[in-house]
Amino acid sequence: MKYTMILSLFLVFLTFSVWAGQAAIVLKDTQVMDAPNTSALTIIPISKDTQVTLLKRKGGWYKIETSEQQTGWLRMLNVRFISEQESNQKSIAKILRETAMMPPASGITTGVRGMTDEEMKQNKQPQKTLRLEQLKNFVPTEESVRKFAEEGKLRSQDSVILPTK
Amino acid sequence: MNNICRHLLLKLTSMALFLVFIFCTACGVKIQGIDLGRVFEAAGKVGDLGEKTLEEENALGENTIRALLSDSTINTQPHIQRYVNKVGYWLASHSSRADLAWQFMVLEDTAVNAFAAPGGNIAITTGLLYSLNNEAELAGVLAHEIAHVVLYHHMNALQTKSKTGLLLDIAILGAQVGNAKTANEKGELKGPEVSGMFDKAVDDLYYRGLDREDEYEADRLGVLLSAKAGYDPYAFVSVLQVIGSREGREEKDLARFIRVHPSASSRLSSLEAVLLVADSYELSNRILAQRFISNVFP
Repeated sequence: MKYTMILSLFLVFLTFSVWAGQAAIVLKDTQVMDAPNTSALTIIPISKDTQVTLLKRKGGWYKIETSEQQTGWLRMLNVRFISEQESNQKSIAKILRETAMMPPASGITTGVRGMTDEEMKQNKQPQKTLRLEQLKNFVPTEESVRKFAEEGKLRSQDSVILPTK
Repeated sequence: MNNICRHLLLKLTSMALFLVFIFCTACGVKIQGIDLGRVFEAAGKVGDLGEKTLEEENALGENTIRALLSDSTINTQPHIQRYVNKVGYWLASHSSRADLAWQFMVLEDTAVNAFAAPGGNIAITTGLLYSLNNEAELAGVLAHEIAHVVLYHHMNALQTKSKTGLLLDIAILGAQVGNAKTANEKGELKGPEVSGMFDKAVDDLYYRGLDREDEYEADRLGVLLSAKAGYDPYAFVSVLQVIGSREGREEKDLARFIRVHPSASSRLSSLEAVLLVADSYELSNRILAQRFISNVFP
């Protein structure tokens, strides 16, 4: 229980800090704005090839910090990431994957990845292979997709018009 | 001059195929056990190679995905497969082809990749899935692949690559007609000549990739589709920016992805106009990082 809470807090921290520390290069001469929208006020002009640090993302904007500790907002498409290797930045998933692959310090595992609680109770081994035909078992019902969307507060955006060919 | 030669060659090939058709229907010719006359008869006429029915698309999709997965391993974690299917189905329900029998699958492969096959078969590798940060990014990737299906990109490309569509029709009909020598009860192609030629066309397409313009078009539709389903459309921009930062490093796991896609920077440039359109909407922009993590890394 305690472990779950610590892990949850860690995940929340990572979720909000995913952009923190990502180095990027400005792609064209542009303006740093005081808010993430086009009608915001300009703080300073910024030149092409300037290196900045990304602090967070909001919609199509990155909050950035310059080498002079000036912060503000730039459009996402106006920057290019400096490679992960150079900036030493890792995705949340990558960190978790590495963690998941590490054996526990005690050497004792308490669960089996890929097994449900029910399967654990029934002492079933996870399947070693899966055939193409078996994938049909994972096709969700319309009702379960609707519930899934509701749980994630996903609402259809009727205003978005898809192009027709 | 080259163009004239190529044109003449194409004309001669078409004429030869037509003569083969006449000969096969008249004489009941069999090649490697495949009754070509019967196949052509079922096709109705050789000139009718344009529109494919949904049934034909499904048969083609099934054979394509079988050919592609012949040496792949499907990820065996049910909760991951179920989760990816739910995200995929929610997105697909907002597309113009919601009624397709969509099938999303996660493949166990460290290579960064995702691909679609006709009929609504969509695969993502664990190499790509594990590099993502949230559900909106996953939605962006799946929406791009859904767009390929909606826009018939692979259908059209296979039709072109299989020389006037004849091979494609043989492949489809081989599965449909139920010729014991051509397809088994599951619809898998069995005739060695047909399945060999078909697999080669599939391999060729998926090795070389689609036309660059098809990729840009799928990016644009995918971004709008994920926005329509309530996800943050800029999450896909983020995916492309991360891939762009890895492009110059000659990573083995990224080699195939780079070979079959335009550069991330050119894809981002081509998205500029559509993102301005997305900006004009009042969107809910859901990201769902925690739900993604608890489902993919339980």
